[in-house]
Amino acid sequence: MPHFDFIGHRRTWFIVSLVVLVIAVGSFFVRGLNLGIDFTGGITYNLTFQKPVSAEQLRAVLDRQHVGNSVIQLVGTETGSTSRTVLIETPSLSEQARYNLQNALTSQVGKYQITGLNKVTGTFSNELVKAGVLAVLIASLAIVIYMMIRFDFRFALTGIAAIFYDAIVTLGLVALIHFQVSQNIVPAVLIIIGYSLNDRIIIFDRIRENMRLRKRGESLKELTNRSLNQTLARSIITALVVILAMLALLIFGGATTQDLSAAILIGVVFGAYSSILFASPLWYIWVDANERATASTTRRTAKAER
Amino acid sequence: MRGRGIIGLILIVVVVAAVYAYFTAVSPITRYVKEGLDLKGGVHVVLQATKPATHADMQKAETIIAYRANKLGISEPSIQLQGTNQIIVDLAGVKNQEQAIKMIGQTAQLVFKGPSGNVILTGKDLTSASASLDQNYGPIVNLQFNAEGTKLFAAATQKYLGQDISIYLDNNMIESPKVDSVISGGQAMISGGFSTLTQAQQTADLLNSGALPIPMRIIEAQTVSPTLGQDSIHASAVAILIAMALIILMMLGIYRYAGFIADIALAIYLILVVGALVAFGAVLTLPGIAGIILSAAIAVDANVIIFARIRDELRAGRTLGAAIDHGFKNALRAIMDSNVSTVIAAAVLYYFGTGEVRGFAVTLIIGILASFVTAVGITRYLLRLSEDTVLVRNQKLFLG
Repeated sequence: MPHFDFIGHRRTWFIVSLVVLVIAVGSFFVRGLNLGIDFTGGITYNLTFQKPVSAEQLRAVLDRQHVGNSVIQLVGTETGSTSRTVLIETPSLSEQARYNLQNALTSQVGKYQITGLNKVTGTFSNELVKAGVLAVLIASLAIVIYMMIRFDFRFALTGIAAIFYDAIVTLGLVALIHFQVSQNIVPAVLIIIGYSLNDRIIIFDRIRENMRLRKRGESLKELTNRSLNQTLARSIITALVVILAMLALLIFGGATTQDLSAAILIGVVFGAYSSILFASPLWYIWVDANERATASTTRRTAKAER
Repeated sequence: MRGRGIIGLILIVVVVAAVYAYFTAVSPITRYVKEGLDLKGGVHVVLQATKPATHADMQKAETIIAYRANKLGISEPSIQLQGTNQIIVDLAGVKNQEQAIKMIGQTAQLVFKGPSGNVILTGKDLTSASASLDQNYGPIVNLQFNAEGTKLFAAATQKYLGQDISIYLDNNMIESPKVDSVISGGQAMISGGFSTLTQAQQTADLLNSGALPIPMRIIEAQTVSPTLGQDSIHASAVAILIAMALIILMMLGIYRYAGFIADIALAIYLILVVGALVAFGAVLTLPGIAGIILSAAIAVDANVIIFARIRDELRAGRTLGAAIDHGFKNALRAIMDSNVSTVIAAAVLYYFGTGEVRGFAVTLIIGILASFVTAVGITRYLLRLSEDTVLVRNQKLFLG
């Protein structure tokens, strides 16, 4: 068993956690998420060209038409990197801009037929996200109640605080890196919260068990450190399992799931971090303060009795 | 005992391998799993009432849309109310997408009007509508009125004999025939405005479904290309296989023989989850797959926790049998607390969530139950089976 002094360095870790949180929240509000047309609304074109075209050709035209943030997908790639059928998602465009874009595609890429054109309005997705956030908040309340029953309110509140920390930091870092997010961000955040919840409970369980069988004279700091070191191997192995799986999805999973796997990857790294270096020290500070208060009251009572 | 244990173990491995072989090579599992819109392609439509609507109106509209989706050949459309005035319709695998969008969103308000524009009767007075060809092979829609409608129509044809009666569908005049005779049998036909029998059939279907109780506007219509779906499925499937292989190798590398047992448990976990999805007829979506991934991670985590505990017990000097027993006992509380709170959270998400979130919640609940059965029950059983084998005498080989 390793013997790292996690709790002894808690101030350092709180500063690290705080800095990360500030960067994340700052990025989220200043830089903002790079929202795809699932959220912002836009137009989806299904085009069938007479000759196969490459994504680069299309990209060049889209960039010149100032819609470089469009998504291009070649459907059923025929010869390596070209295809006759393509799907282009652009942000909302005026009639004139659409007309220009369509002409530019004809003159600079080739003749095509529009096989499908759909306007997507963004407001709906925002409502979906709002409903999702509300559902997550109610679910969190249920988790707090369960943890209060099975553990106690200090475990419950520090646990849920750390779960939100993970979700917020992940969203903030996604904003910082600024890769485009689709509706996949919803399942990604759900996975992160679920992973974070599981991780918190496994580690808190060990602290709870050690508290019950607390050795005579063992300080709270020693006990918390011992618990974290006992679970450290498990924490690392489990995080590695998920990280490996998400790396595989990120590298081989294709464009449509990249935002999903990248977000989960960030979330799991921070989930593992925050269980050990944020949630547990937070719990320690709270319980330690309580223990000191009880101890001084006992001393005072003892003195008074004498 | 020793022999029986090994035989049991080999038997289980063979059965699991056979199940995998059957459902990949002989009869691919993709045939049984219903894929959702994002995976299979189709149409996603969001309708919004253009007037204030009561909950009863919305529910009726939902039923009517389900009927129409059925007529389009979609056996399991996903239709959900959202908020107070929206309906989300997902039609996975629909072929003619333009037609589908049109048919889902149409109000289908049929009105017969007299020469002065007065309403004679509406779609509510219909019993049924059907399509056929008339004597000139022109497509027509035959209408059968109910008792009330028959009475109204007879009175109107008598009153307006020799004049025109106009037929409107959603405020568009379809035709305006002259009344030649009094019609008292409660039957009428619409012959104008249909170029094909299919079109007439579609109108008949719409009339049979009844008009939407409130007019609705399509605020979002998205066609999801199925080919694109297949492409992304293929890439994701490859990625998931690679991820599985990595996890299997990692467990083997770290926990040796016990890791091998955990791998078998994981394989059985996947059979249970997919089997349950097929049995319940659940629709698989991308968030649904996310739920499976999360519960798979929790399943692996459960085994990691158990093995770590067994190692602790072995280090404390217990015999292997006792270490396995105590390891499981100590790990169980943590695993239970984690699983129960995850299921509670997922149940809340299902209850309060919509669309995407629900798909995630369903597979997560199924996945957690399956992971508990396999990662705890089956792993324990398999470890017990191999307790007396030669392998187990070598602790390094047993647990790394």
